[in-house]
Amino acid sequence: MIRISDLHKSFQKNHVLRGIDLEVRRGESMVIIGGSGSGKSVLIKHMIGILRPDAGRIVIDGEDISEMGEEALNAVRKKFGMLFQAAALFDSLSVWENIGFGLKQHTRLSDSAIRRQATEKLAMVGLYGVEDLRPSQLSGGMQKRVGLARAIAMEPQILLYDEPTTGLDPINADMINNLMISMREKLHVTSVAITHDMVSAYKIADRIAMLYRGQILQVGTPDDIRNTDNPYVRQFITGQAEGPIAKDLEKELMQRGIQ
Amino acid sequence: MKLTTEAKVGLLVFAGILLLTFMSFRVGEFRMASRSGKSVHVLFDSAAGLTEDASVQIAGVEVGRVEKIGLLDGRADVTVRIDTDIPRDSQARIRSVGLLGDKYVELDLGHAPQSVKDGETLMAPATTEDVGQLVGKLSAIADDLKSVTSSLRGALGGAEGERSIRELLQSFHDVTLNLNNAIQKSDARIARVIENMDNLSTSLNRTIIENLASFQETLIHTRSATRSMDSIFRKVDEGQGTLGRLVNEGNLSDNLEEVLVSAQDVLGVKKKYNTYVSLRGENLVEANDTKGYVSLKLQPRKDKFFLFELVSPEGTKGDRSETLTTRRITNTGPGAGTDFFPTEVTQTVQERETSDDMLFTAMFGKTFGQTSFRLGLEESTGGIGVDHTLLGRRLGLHLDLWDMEGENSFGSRAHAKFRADYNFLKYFHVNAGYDNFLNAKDSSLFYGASISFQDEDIKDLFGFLPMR
Amino acid sequence: MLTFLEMLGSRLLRFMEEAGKIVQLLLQAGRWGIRPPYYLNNAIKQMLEVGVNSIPVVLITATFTGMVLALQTHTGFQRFNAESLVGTVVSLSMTRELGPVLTALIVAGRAGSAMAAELGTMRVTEQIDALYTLATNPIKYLVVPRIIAGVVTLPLMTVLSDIVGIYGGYFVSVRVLHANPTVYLNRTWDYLEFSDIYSGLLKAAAFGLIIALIGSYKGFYTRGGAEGVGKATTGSVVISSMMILISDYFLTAILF
Ligand SMILES: Nc1ncnc2c1ncn2[C@@H]1O[C@H](COP(=O)(O)OP(=O)(O)OP(=O)(O)O)[C@@H](O)[C@H]1O
Ligand SMILES: [Mg+2]
Repeated sequence: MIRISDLHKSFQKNHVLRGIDLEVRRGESMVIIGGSGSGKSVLIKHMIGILRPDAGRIVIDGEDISEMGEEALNAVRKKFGMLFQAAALFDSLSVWENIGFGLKQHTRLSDSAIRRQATEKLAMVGLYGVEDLRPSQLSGGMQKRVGLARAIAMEPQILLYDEPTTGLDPINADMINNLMISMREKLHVTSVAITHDMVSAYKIADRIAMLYRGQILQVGTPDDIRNTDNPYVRQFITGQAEGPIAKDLEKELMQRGIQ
Repeated sequence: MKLTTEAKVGLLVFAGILLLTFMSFRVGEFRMASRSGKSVHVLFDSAAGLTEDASVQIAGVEVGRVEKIGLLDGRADVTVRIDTDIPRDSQARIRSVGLLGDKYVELDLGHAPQSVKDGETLMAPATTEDVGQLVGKLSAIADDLKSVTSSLRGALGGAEGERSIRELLQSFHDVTLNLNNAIQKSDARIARVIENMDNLSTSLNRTIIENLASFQETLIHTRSATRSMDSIFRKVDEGQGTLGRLVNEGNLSDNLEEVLVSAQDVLGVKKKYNTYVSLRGENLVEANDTKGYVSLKLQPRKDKFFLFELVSPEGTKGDRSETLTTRRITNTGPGAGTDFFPTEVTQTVQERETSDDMLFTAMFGKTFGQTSFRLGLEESTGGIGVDHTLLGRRLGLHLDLWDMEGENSFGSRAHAKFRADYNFLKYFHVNAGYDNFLNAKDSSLFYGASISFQDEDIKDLFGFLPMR
Repeated sequence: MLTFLEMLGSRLLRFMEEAGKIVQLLLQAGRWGIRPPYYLNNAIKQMLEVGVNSIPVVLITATFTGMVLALQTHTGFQRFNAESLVGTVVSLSMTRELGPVLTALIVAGRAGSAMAAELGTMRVTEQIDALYTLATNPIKYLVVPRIIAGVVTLPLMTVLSDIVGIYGGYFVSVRVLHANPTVYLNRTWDYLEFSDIYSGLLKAAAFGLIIALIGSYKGFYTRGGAEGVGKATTGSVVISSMMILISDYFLTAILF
């Protein structure tokens, strides 16, 4: 479904992605883990064509989108739904208009039908009665869930979640996990999720990929990752301050003359 | 009720379009846009000065506009659109309003029972000359020059020789005002002449005499400086008979008449013409003196012009006693007698020989491309000059030679002067040059500035003063 | 010296790059603008912002400009008895120059900056990226309506400001300076030609394009959080004001 090969991306001198190879199969739930600033969000934005690669290929459903024109890309994007890390709701529109944005643009549904759809999607993320509020009137967690509702509103084939449970209370977080699972099981959605929450990762993932220093360190099932031999992955999943990742950081700092 | 976004924007669009429509119909061009009424042709000998969209009036009331001006068998075919019925034997003539006024078509209603129909041709009188108008303009210009002269004397004479150009402009304005007043007050006769075109041929002679006499009266108490002008007009006065003859019969006998005929042309009776008026000040550096000029240039044809100048005397700080001796000057300059230098032009002009009074220049000029030659009376003595223009007429080079016997200055050689004149902004010029450079003792560098107007400019600037 | 040249060079290069990006944005807006769907509602919403909501300040400015113009020209023209031409000067200056330019400067300050701030915020909060993910082209959805609003409303606003400026001048001349109202109005309208009005409106449309384009450009390419939004906002006002005045000269030279 999604095949990424040798993807490179730099921002000025910051070489963020250094040769990513990753495949996400149809109907699979892929979870990407990795340290803060390792380039997870940048990677996921490449999948939907918001960012363009410096080098490498991104193939969606057999179509190479890395050099695709903006219009053709729009057609491909209709297969996607994406939840942004900071929700990215349109603050000039009300909650239901945000959720119904895609429907409004790409279908001929009436406003009332769109509104009904929005209410339904809100219920799926555990919200009600907020249809007419503005995004700025919502809490951060609520915004996140509205963003998720917007992402699933068009019932896309591929869902990209950038930290869907961050900032949510445990109950709501688990509810979102269940939602993601049911999306995959009932609607056979292919999904890519970024998360720092290992509990959630083990729960929703078919496979987990660990991103470190612009490269994929390891890809495997939750069991593979849990029993990994890779010391970097081990340090990350156990969440310890001590370990090779910390050593690398120390070295880096030493090189730059910062103690 | 709260307005929706759409309603507000719609209101803005609506208001904008409405106001734009309002403005379109108020601006000059669009007022007569409605093509109502009937269009009637009038054939004129000359439609000089008449423009499309000019007013068509009956008894001073606008009844239409000029629609088109074309040419038909060498005559001007003027199409006017009018929205009233007029008798078929009505006559049309071209009149003007204002000081250098805009032309309009005046209709004199006839008595025929039938009205003129759409597309028919109206009669125009054989001559469209408005002699009352000519006289009015002559006296206007004379008055004009008179006042300019006196204010120039005020501006440039005595210890206050360094007054600025702005005051010159002010005095120019005064002139116009005076003129306006003079015309307003004095002459019901002019008005009558203008109104009474039917009586023109019979009363023409009398009208001219009367007008000149009354105009003469206004000149009687002029100060010394204007006496030179006075004498010119006395001359004209003496030539009344000839002038009358000239207008009636077109019989020309001598050079005075030739000049006057040209002047008549110039004054807008028949031909296209150009009038230039300019005020010029010069500061002679080495001679520690200033000179002022008022000049009127009449250009009946592209290659021919008459230049009249009043010049403030040199050495204004000197003796101002008046010597009233007069003498005739005969031109003996080079080139005299050739077909473009009529020899005797200057013979007709009297001048007083005074070293400290206003000097007078009257020259005839002929232009070849960018170069013109002038010949005639210069600063009250015989003189010649050459002008050359460069840089698209912005830069003028002038070389003058006069006072061949050295009478007006102390030097023994002729007075020669070189002047460069640069037009840097619309009406404004700066100039610099070398005066009297043949006489080492009196030679001086000078610099100065001038303002000059063409008749179009004058019309623009002062045409709004109504001539009534 | 060398570093100075280097700096100059890189400045120039950056300027060129920026100019190129602006033109590119304009071309893209044109490309996306001509094909459906048309976001008419967005355009109308922008017209409200650019046009309707700017009316009070534009009207006040234009009224007082007309008034002071009448006062000033009266003082000057009085010196050579040309008071009756005050109306002509006011109407000509308002329609040809001050109407469009002042309106444009005010709208640049009011609406151009708002465009930059809004789009800038949308950029830094990833709302523009979100538009992409919803298969909606942000240039089409955000920039095109703003440009349409600018090009359409500026001439409309200019007509309003022409009129109130002219009547502001009329008020001062007739009520304060005791000019003859009939003569004043005749002078106002007789010497005015339709070309004066429409060339002013053409200019206004060009200014509208400049304001919307620069505002959108600055917002659309904002970087660096709240600070970036602030910079984009001031930048848009400065650049569009400058561009308005510079292009005013060239437009005047071309149009007249
Ligand atoms: N638009 C951008 N311009 C410049 N640099 C960027 C941009 N987006 C990301 N980066 C840089 O790319 C790197 C990776 O950023 P990214 O947002 O992908 O991190 P992340 O893995 O998602 O981290 P987090 O878990 O904190 O969200 C960072 O160093 C960031 O500075
Ligand atoms: Mg991230």
